[in-house]
Amino acid sequence: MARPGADLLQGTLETLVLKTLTWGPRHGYAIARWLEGTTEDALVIEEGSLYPALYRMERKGWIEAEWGMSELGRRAKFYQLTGAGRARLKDEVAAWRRFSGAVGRVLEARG
Amino acid sequence: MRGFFLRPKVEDKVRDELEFHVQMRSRELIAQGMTPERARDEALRRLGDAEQLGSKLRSLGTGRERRNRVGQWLTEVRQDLWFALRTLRRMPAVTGVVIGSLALGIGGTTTMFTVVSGVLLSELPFPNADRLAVIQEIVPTEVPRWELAYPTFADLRERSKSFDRLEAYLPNSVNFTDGEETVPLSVVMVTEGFFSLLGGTAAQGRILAAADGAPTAPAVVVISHRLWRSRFGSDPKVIGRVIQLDDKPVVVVGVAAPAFRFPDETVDLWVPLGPPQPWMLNRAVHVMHPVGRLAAGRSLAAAGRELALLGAELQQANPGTDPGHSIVAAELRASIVGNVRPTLFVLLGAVALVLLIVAVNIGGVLLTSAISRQSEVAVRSALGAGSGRLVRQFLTESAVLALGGGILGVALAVIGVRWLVHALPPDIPRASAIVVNGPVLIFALATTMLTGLLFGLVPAWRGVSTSAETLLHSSGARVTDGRRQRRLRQGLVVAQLVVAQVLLVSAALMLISFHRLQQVDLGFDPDRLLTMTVSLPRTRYSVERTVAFYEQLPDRLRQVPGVLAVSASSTLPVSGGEARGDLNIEGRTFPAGRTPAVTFRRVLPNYFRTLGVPLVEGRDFTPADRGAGDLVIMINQSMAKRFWPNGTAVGSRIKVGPLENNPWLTVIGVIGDVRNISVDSDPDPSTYEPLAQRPRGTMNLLIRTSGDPMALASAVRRILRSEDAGLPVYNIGAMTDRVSGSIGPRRFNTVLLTVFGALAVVVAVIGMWGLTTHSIVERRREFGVRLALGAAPRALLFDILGGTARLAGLGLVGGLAGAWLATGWLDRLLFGTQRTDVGALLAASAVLAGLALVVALVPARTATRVDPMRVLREE
Repeated sequence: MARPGADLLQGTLETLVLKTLTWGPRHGYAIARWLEGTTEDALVIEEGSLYPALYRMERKGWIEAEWGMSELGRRAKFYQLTGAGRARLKDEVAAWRRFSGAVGRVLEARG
Repeated sequence: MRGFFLRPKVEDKVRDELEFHVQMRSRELIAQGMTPERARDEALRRLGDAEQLGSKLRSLGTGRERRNRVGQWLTEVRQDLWFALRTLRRMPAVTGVVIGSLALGIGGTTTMFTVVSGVLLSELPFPNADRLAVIQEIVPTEVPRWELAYPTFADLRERSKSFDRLEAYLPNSVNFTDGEETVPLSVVMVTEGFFSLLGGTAAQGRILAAADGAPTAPAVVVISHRLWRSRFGSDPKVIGRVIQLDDKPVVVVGVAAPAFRFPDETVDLWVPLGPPQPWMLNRAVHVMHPVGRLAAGRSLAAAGRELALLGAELQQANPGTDPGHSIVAAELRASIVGNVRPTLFVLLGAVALVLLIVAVNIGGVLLTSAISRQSEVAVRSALGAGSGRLVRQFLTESAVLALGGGILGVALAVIGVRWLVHALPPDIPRASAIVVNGPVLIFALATTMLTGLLFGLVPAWRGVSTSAETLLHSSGARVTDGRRQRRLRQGLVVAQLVVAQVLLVSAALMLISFHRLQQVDLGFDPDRLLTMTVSLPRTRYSVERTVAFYEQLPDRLRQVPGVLAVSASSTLPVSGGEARGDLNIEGRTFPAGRTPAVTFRRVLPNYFRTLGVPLVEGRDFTPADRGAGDLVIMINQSMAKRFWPNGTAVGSRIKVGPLENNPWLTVIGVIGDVRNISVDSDPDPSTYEPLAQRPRGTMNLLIRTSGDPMALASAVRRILRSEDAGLPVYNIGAMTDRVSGSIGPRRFNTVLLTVFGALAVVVAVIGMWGLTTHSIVERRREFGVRLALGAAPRALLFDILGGTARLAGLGLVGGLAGAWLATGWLDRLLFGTQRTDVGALLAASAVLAGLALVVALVPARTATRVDPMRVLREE
């Protein structure tokens, strides 16, 4: 658990989940599938870490869950963004843009 | 405990969620070609250590569940509220109608409750008010409640053990001279402990002390706060001032606290009763109003039993006085407000019925809107909203509506109360206690919530009882209304008609009563009759001077142009305040305890001619009837019929009044009946004596004029003042105003009940209209098909109207039954009619049925003009 960089990783996963949910409520499996598809498997999402992340985010009030029917008529737990989650995502995206912009400028800098 | 119940639930949820994930993943892997067993293993593997993950999620979930239960609930409430506001904004017409009608209903109910609360329910402003009782004598006559004689009061005070304090007061009037002007004031003569018993305190100076009643004590007075402000300009140095009461100097020793207004709001002065004056010692002179505080442990009923016993003993000890009287105790509160209690409750009940109709109507409106929102509900429930959640959503909407209506309603009530306090007839006591206060607001809130629940539950139940699948499978936008739902809405409309009918019948009965009241033959002509009271101060007017003053007055006043005739009487017609005395007829004895009481008044000779009362038999008074020789009296027709049914009363000799030394009076004439007490009470046996035979200082002038009587008021007043500058002249008014004042309370009740009835009808008719319109819209397709198949438009019209007529019929039948039950409460308020009055029942039914058909006719006619081809193409 105390792996260096785990916090960053965990934060990133949360940001990605928040982004996933901007298109509407999804259940855990759909979130996992969407992340896999969108990142074209470049980022391997630990399925074992997705659910704890969802639970923690629910606890923080960024997302909320409601049981409903899946597209195949099965009962599933759907997660959706709350106002706080939306705000959090905005902050994270802004921070990421600053971060990646800075890293990009450094890497592309010429002596 | 909580954790114990929560854990398995969280466990289930975690397991379900992970199981769903595994199954979905397996499905995917199988689709990629794996065998089911391998696919499941692979799916589990990807989750990592399932056991560890499960326990981690459980601990995360449990903590959240506990912490967020309240939080989630609040979130949901917030969501519901937001959703409700959005929904309501989307249908402004419905929202406006609902909130508006609710505001009227809640405003009206709250206003009436404010009156009831202030007059009937609020604490009387006296210490131990619930232990205070009044003592009265019950007498078997037309006016059964009498005051006590002073000796009876003194005996009870000495012997009764039921009261640890017993005081008494005697209301009177006194002439107050203020510079040039003399005005009559209402004075209350009180026993020494009166103020302390009732918790009366002084705002300035002091209250009356026991020593003030001593025979040698200087004359003192405590003035009311109201009088201090109106007459003394809130003079801070009023204490110690000497004022003239009945031309005698009296020292002002105190100003009562503003809240102390006993026995009623009109009191101006309190003076010590002191030792009883000689005339009070007669056991047949009933003037004292005793008030007592029940001794610890004594109930009112026990006090009543003791008083009955003491009364019987007193009668045995003093044979001959007051046979048949009994002494009773009554709650002070009941004695103050007992008379208006039924009226106020009838009015509150009526306005509550209006609110009920409003609520039922709103239920119908929301039901209709719920039906058009069925698809929305179906989608939401398909998305996983539980039925509990949906009910809550509907109830939140209702609560928002109710609250809006409630807040507006309270605002209306504040205005309504202000208006009502001014419009209240003077017979309603404690008007100053009518305020919108805490209890009233609690009542308004409770009413609001109850109403919201009432009209919210129907659509809520209705909304979720439709299964999602049926709705989603039907075409969505055009969901047809099931039979059961139509029944429900029809039921609501019928319920409205029933309640409206009850109120309408009540209003009709009140209107008939009021109409009968206005047609009552008063027995005299009240038009162009100026009245005023003149009070000759006893200190300056001897008996001879009094008689002389009044005898020459008509001639003096006839000098005023426009004055046709002038007379005077000790009490005015339709003005209550009758003096009564026991009747004795020479040569007859009445059974013990059955001595009839008749009213008596003193008049100037031309009284009957001035009033226009016909002489039936015998002769009228002449100026020669002045106490010399035979003493004379005239009686009214009711009295003649009752006591001389087969012969003539003229020539008989009678005595009126309690005093054994009263002389015999010869009946010289019989005149027509006059409604002396009020417009609505039948004339009772009355006698008239000439003023000159039994003089009296205070008389009411009656002046018949050729034009507007009030136009001559100042001229008449000027002549009176020129006779005697310090003469108190007051109560100036037209007789017609007295007559309408006499029916003021009934007018008030009639107006309110009529307004409530009209409101109820309007609301019910709107409900009927809504139902018809809605059902016609729903049946457009059916009508189109029928028209296309060749049905005559007329047949469709009759079909629609027939449905309306059936509902109206049900409502009317129910309404008549309801009215029969409800108008039992109305009996006391009716005059000259009964609750079985066929005219009222028919009129109310006709109005309601007619309106129902008319409002159905308009949408029905448009329905029959439907273009069949267009309707069919729409589908």
